[in-house]
Parts: sequence; C-alpha cells; structure tokens
Amino acid sequence: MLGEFEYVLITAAAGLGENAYGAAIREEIEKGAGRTCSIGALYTTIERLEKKGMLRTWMGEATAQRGGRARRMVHVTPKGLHAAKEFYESMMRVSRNASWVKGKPERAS
Amino acid sequence: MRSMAELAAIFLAPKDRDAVLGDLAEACASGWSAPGPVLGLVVRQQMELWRAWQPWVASGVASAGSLLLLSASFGLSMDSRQLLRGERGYGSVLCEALLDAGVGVDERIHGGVALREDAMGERHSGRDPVSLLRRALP
Repeated sequence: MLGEFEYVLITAAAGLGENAYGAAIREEIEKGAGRTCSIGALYTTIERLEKKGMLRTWMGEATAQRGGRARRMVHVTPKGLHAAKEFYESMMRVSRNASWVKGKPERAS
Repeated sequence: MRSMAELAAIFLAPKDRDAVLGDLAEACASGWSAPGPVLGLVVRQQMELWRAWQPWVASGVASAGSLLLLSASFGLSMDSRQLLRGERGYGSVLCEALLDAGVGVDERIHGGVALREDAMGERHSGRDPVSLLRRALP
C-alpha cells in the first residue's frame, strides 16, 4: 500500500498529465494539499515510486527559464494509478463512519 | 563563478543535478536559501540507501574484518618488535606461526638476537632493517 505522501505525489502528477515535472508537482502539492514540499522529499519519493514501477521519469528539454537545465518529466504508470485508486478507496472506506464526513451527524460526547 | 547550490549539487547524480538546479532556478531560489534543499536531498538519498538490509550486512562484515585485521597486525607488530629486541614474544600470531614451523622458544630468542644484530648492521650500512625482517619471516 502507498504512503500518504506517495499518494499525494501520484495524484498531483496524474492531475498535471503531460506537464508533470519536479517543480510543477511541487507547486501542485503545496497549492492543493496546503503543505510545504521540500525538493529532497519530492525527488526521493519520485525515485522510490519509480523503483516500484508506479512512475516513469525521463529528462525533458532545457528551457531558458530554468537556466538552460532540463526538466525531469514524470508519468504515472497503470500500476501507480491502480495503487492510488486503492489507497483512495481504502481511505474512503475507513472514513465512512467518521464524524467529519459530510452528512454524518456529530456524536454527542 | 559557481553558485552555492551548484557546489552543493556536486554530490548528486548528473540527472538529479540538472533537474534540481533547474527547479531551483524556476523557483528563483538563490544565495543562501538554495544550497539547503540540495543538501537535504543529498542526505535523504544517503538515508534511503540504508533502508535496505545489504548495507547493514556489508558494514557489519567490514567492521568485524577490520577489527580482526587490527588485532592481527597489532600482535604481529608487537612480536616483531620483541624479536628485534631479542625478547620472548607473548604468543600472538607470529609466535604461533613460528611454533607451528617447529621453531622453539630458545631458537626464537636466539634468532631474534641474531636478527637484531643483523638489523643493526643493516641500519648502520644505510639499508632498511624492515626488509631484513621480511626476509627472515617464514
């Protein structure tokens, strides 16, 4: 099963589609999850997920905006999509009786 | 002149270096704030290696091997020192090897005295006494 940050990364990369690369994924995570994402955490997780076969990466083209340096493009593999879907479903299942879930009345203490 | 981030990125693989420095340039990180994330990645990559069991086994074998070699070399150096002084050694690797080769304690002492005299002669003649010891060892 995926870790929480692994799930967040796969979801962000899948959402970005063909434009998924290091800086864009980082921005997406910070914007969407409302948490800071260090470069160290991002790249070590990308490497780990690539070893597990859930991501595929390759070096893209260099741009002037990046000081002539190449982007590390990221693509989520079917295995990664399946693992993210499983994680999401298990979170939904485990949360269905939680008081903070929409439509669920708060328990009296 | 190379920036601080570029210097810190020396420890990264070329592929990671390009991607990380490009990301930092895109985020307009510069000066003292830039090397931090790069070094953070270097540390994390090193820590990631230790999540597997192989490095732990390798370091255990290396530590045990180095301790064994350390004790053997210490014993050998003590023995050779005592042999050069013509004294009796205290049963370490070299002495055991000499005993196994059928050399008695007295012979060892006499051999050591002779070896010392030879070594003194070598030293006086400006040659290396260690090479003599090497020749004398079985």
